[in-house]
Amino acid sequence: MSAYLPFLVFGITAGAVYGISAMGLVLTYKTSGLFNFGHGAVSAMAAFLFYSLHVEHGLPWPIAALIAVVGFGILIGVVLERVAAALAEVAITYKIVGTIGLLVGIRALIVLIYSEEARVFAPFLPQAKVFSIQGVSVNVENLITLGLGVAAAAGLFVLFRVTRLGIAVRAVVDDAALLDVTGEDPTRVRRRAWVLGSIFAAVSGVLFASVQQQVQVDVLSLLIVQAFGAAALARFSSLPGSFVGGLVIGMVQAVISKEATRMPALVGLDLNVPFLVLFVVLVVLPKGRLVELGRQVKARAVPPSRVPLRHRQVGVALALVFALVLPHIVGSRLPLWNTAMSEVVLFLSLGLLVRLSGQISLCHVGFAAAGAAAFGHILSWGVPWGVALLLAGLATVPVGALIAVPAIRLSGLYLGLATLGFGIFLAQFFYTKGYMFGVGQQLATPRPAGFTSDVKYYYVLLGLALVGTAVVLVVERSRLGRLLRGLGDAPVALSTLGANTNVTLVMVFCLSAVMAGVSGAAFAGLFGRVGGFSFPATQSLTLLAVLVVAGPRIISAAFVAPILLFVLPGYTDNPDIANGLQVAFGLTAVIVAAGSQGALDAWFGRLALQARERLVGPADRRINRPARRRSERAAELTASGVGGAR
Amino acid sequence: MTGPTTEAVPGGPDNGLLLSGLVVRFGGLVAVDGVNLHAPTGRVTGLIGPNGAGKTTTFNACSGLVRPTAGSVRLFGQDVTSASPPARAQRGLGRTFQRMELFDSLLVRENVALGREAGLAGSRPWHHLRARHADRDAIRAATDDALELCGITELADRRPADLSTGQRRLVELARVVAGGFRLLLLDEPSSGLDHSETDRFGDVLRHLVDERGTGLLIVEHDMGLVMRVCDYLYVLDFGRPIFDGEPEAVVASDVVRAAYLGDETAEIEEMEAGLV
Repeated sequence: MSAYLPFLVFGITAGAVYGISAMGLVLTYKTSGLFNFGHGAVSAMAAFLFYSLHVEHGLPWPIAALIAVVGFGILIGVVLERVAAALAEVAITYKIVGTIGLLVGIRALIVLIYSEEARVFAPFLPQAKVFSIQGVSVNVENLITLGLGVAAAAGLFVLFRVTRLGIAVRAVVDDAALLDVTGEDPTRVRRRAWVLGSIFAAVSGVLFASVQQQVQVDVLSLLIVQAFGAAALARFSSLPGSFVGGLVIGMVQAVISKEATRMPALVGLDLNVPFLVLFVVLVVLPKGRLVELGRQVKARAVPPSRVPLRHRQVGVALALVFALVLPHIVGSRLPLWNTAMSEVVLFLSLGLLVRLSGQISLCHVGFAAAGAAAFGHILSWGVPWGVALLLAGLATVPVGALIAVPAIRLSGLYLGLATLGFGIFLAQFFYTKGYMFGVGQQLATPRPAGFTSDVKYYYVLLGLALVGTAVVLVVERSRLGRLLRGLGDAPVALSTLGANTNVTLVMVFCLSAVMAGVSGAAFAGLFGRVGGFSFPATQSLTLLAVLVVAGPRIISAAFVAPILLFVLPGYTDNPDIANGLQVAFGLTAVIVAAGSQGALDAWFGRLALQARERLVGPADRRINRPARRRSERAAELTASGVGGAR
Repeated sequence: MTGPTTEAVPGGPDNGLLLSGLVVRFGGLVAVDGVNLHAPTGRVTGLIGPNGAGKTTTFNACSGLVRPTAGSVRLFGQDVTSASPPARAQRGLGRTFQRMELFDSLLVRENVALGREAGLAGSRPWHHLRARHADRDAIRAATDDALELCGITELADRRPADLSTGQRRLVELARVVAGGFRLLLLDEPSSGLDHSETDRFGDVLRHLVDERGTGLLIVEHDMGLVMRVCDYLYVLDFGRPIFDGEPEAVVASDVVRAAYLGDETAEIEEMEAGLV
């Protein structure tokens, strides 16, 4: 037992941090129905702010903490409440994309200010030993961290049961309109919840940096996924439960890392406990006990294109000509275009899932990685390149089928979370194993003989992208395509018409995995050798956001998205501009998500109307009643003798 | 307690849908409590009752969306109590929804065609991929026929999202008509329809039953429509069956009057008006 103690002390401290983060996440999710994927980025921002104030500018830590936690927490909480309000009435895919936009945007902002490099962050809380259990010392920092967590959990528990704000927060979840009638402003209630949630995020960020003894943007942003696991244990609904969930995860991690010193097979598993927990809880928990919060909105159907067919044909022809001559006009930037071209099929496969069938995948990079690894192994057996590419795609089928299992049970947010957990687990546990990318992460993936130059390989990739496009076109027009659209629009109706939608789901996930696997293999061919580092699991989040920003049509989005992701930032050699682009992209994702149900059209419509009024005078006063000024109306009433004192 | 009236029905209890002692509980709430019901083919069976009587829950238990706590669901003589929704559809049971569940990203024609195609796809992966040549003509014929019957042929190339509620109801009806189901559950088919649309709807329903021998089980609030098209009625109140019989007998029943009395006496008047 005593051998476990040092690990447990560390585990409980880390677990308390996860718990605090998870409570903030669940609090805001409960009150607004928006599950914030950017929660960890808020933590990271607060930690950097604290680092800046305390380490760089020498402010005493209590003052720095007050500014970074309370000041920043209030500020960002107010902003986030507005974002949540804008995302309240959109479909779940867009809610996810909107908060991914927050994650990407805030992360890029941090990199812009502080760079990606890790910085040493000496623990700021007193390290003095308080007492020791069987020779293992427990210091002030451990106690403060745990104490903060326990106090916060207990405080929230009491807040929810007893205080007026707590009751209002519970009411706002149940029926915001009804709460409004009672005289309590739902927006104000939500704002308080977001402020509180952001303060929790900030506290956990600062404490996590202290536990890790470093500030690094991605490590801190990933804290969110640890919190996901803790929140999953509390079914995304109980606040004290989330804290306990955090402690459990921290302790299990500690025990596994202890065991890993004896059993090499367990190495790396400790880091994966949260993701594994997230995946397993979502797959095992009875469906009725996982209730998705917030208004469930059906995504607006994509209207048919207004551009005449003839113009579209000319556009496609021009794009094809451009694609054919591209290697001869882009010069030294060709590798960028090659990367983009290799990812077209990946975006097509994601489009099949997201756009055609209404599913969500946050593990698409994992499919690509599996395909790339299989490709390398199959090539090493001497199989011809083209055949190996096809086999690599087929080898990805079991991975797709595995993900279809949660897809049968879950939808929307919880499917997204389950796939994210799976993808990160795949990355952190399997990528590093010898049987996946070989020893030393150096799996040979050469280009086909005779096509080794960048220009020639470009045409191979273009050919693949066109074949992928043809596959999507055929699927869209086939019975499978109609079934998939039916699945996306009204899955219950489809099943009562006699189609076994489980079969439909497994098929689309397998097809999508094949295409993603082929894309991963083609991507691996770019470099000649490949390792797991080329397939960061969190990139799956970015993929979904970029796909959605690239537009609602599967094929055009699949070509535009990789250009946005790889080519556009690659054309600048100034890293600040590249990061600025990412900030802009994050903001765009939020705006696109918020406008997905037509809110932007309405807004632009009003602007156009107002502009018209200014230019040519009011069209018809009666139609534009809300636009009229109160004084104007009063004057009118007085003139007609209806009101006003005489 | 009334039992299902199966004696007078051609084909006996094996014809159509037979519920025996159906109970559905949600936690502590008993939504449906001991419902016996028989909906045979060639007849319009109505299921009525005040709001919250358990009508839609009964429907959901029939089509497999809700698992009953007790009792059995038999379809054409086979026990389907634990069968999945698609398995029931394969045995000839189709349904519509109170809040229409249309495929908004497909054209009206594709919506209707999918009514037939979904059943052909079933559970076989290969049949999900593409239609067999032999099926294609049958699908087209069934689609054209259903569009024609429901009077929405001219809407075939529109999208459901652009249509009125009444038109959308007709699209949903055409979809199950194309599916060729022997028995249809229609959940409040006339809600949101105006008078002429409801009349048209009633004509289509009568045609389905009289000319094609389809069986219909209808949950409906429009008592005029209920009295005009239904041959037999079951009345639920608070999940319990309180009466069943021919429409005339239902209107005359004191039990039914008592159940509707107070807030919904207007419905009794509507019923009587519908009978004339």
